[in-house]
Amino acid sequence: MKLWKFLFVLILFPGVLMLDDPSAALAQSKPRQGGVLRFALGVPITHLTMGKSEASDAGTIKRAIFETLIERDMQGNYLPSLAKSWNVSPNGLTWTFKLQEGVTFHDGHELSAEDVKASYGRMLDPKYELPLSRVLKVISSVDIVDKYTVRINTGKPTADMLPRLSWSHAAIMSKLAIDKWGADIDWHPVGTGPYRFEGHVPGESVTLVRYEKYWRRDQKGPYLDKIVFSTIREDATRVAMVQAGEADVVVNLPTADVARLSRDPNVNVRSDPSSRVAHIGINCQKAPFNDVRVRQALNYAVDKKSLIAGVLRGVGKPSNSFISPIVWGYHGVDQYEYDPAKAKRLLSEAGYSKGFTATLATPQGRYFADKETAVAVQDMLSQVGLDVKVSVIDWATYIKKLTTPLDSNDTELYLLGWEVGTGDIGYINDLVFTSAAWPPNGWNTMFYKNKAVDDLIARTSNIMDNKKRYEAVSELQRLVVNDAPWIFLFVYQMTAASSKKVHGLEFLPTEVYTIENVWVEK
Amino acid sequence: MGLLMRVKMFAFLIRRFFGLVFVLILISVVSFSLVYFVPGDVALVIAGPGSSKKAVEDIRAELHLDKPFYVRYSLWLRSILSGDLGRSAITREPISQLIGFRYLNTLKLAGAGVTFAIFWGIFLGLVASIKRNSILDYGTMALSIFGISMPIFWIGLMLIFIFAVQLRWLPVTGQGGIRHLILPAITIGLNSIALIARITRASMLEVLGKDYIRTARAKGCTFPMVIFKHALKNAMIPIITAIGLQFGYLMGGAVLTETVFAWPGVGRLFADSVFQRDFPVLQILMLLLAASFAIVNVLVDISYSFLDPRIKYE
Repeated sequence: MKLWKFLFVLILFPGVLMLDDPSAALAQSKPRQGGVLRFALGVPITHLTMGKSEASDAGTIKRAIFETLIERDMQGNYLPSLAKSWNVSPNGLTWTFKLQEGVTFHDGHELSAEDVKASYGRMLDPKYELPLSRVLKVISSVDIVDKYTVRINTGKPTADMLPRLSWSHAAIMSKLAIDKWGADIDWHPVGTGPYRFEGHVPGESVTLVRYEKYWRRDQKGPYLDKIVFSTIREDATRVAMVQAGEADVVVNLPTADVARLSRDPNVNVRSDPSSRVAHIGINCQKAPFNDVRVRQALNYAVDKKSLIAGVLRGVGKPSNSFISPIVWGYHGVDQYEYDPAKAKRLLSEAGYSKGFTATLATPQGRYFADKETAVAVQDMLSQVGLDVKVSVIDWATYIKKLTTPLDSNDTELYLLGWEVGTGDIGYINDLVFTSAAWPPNGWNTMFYKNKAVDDLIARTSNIMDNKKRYEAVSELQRLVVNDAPWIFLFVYQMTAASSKKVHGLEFLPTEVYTIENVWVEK
Repeated sequence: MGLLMRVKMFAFLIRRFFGLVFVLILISVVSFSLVYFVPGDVALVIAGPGSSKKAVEDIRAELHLDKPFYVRYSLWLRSILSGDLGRSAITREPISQLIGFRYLNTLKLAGAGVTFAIFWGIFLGLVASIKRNSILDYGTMALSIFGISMPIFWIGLMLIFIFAVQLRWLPVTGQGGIRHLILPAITIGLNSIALIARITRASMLEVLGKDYIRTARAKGCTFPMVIFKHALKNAMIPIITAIGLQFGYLMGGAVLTETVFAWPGVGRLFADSVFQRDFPVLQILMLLLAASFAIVNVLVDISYSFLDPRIKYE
């Protein structure tokens, strides 16, 4: 009888046979060489090159392949990467970088100033028309001083030059590859990073393998033999994969699953602040939104805390500026506490005591809980007497609609999320808030125009002293928040789940994960 | 077969062939033109936000968007017939490469699903028809209704959750063997079981009531022989029709199953291309899928004459 019981238990609970391996605890402290890391992404990767728009997931892959001259750490300091030292001329117009020696590209040739000149030249070359090149337009020319010394000249003193050069798209590509592939370089990424590109199945997966000759291999990684990034569109399937042990890292978790995954003993869940701010953009040239009191009323009418608790299930933080706290220059302006009574008052002061109708456009599935956020805001605005219609538009058409020039643009309110690629406020100032960036010349889709703001933006981009610059951008944020071209909603949190066997995964505010220090247990 | 029969059969096949060609041409016109009924400037949408005027114009020129419809259509048709299926507007990859392995994957999936559905559908239908009006009859019919009522999506996720996550018996995604095919095949096949079961049951009941069945029993044929050799064979025509139609449905419904299981097939490619506005791919895919469906049904058509010799090659 005892034997039967034993067999019965064994059949029902095969786990009984898995005795604890005592060496496992020891193994955790030292990175293990080898193994395969499997990432499950929610979107397909469309290219692995610099200058073209992409989903943040692609940034993670590119970071493993390419490196920049300098890199930014989590505290916001700029550290040497491919450049071992640098200095800037007293007039602020010339930056000289000394490159590391003995760094090799995946194609074998050594890194030199030629590659730097070729990489930036390509970004700024009008014949490639790279949509993101405007961030590097501050560069007027690049000179080769000698093999390991390169000079980057700017037209005007650029306060956020280092952030721009640490931007993932300012990575150094191989000159040989650029010359060889030209415009077809999308799937021929040749960089200096710890992993090199092995191959891809379009729309399905990308495979990287260890680069044996990585120049920093004595200090840190790469530890992994191979990394496979698979595109798994369905959120629930990705979650199932990490729980079943078929995927090691899964990003962009659905909020509904965060709590459940946190309870899974095989999985680590992490939540990191993103630099992306969700907001409702307001067409500042269209009545009644051209009255600042109306725009402020909209801000007072939204209860950010309930929005985050209800729609995002707590995964997010209220926004009190147009950038997130992790972006350099952040200065919170706590002007809009939830106050529907004040909203109604402002509306009637502006002459709209009876309210008005408006349309709120939103994409669906582009941002986390985007449509749900719009619907929640619609409801909150109705509480102060505004009749708002939500219009769900597919992403491609949505973009076209927002960037239509003013005279044919009928947008009133729209949901969007801006992240700051360089980690510095200068990026979004130029791209969104200056009146020179009205579509089609930029992304000022609110058609916002404030001379004081324009002047301040122009001034701050040239202030080299950090303290003075911070004062100026703080003033800028006070001005813009008070002017309310946006309904400031919340700062996104990036969520990811990883198997307990994965160590060393870090997250950057640009919504990219760093893999160079990752190792996996057996 | 006599010479006359052979000639008649040949003529029948020729007629069917030309009928198929006509249908394919019609399908190609419809596939080609449907994509142009979407809102937004096609070239701008494909080029993407923030793209330069030149990039947009390049796309406009490449897809001949400025030329009249019939010119665009004939250019397109000509390149297809010469083997060039064009390039994806998004990834610039040759469409033949994009579709090649995916089509085979979907065929694998649809084939496995149909096999699963045929086996269980006919089995349940047979059982129900033999034990008419018994618990078994109502039970099997209820089971099949369950299969058709549950959304494919939900079935797939539930199967994953139970068998892959909790029990870890089967994998969630991936290809490479029967193990990876089991859950997706069940997901996609479950819906079809109900239809096949009901038609099997109805068709069998009709056949079982016929005189020749009584004769066969009286003759001394064993029960299995009666069911399979005499009854089922004659009941097959409506069943085969249903299976043919289901196959087409499966090729289309594969989208949901392929999405849930990350199965790299044409269903998912189709969905992705719709979202990304990859018009060149959509046109080819619609043509391919509609053509597959048409061909399957022609095959079903032809099979009737083998199942029932009374159907002459008219």
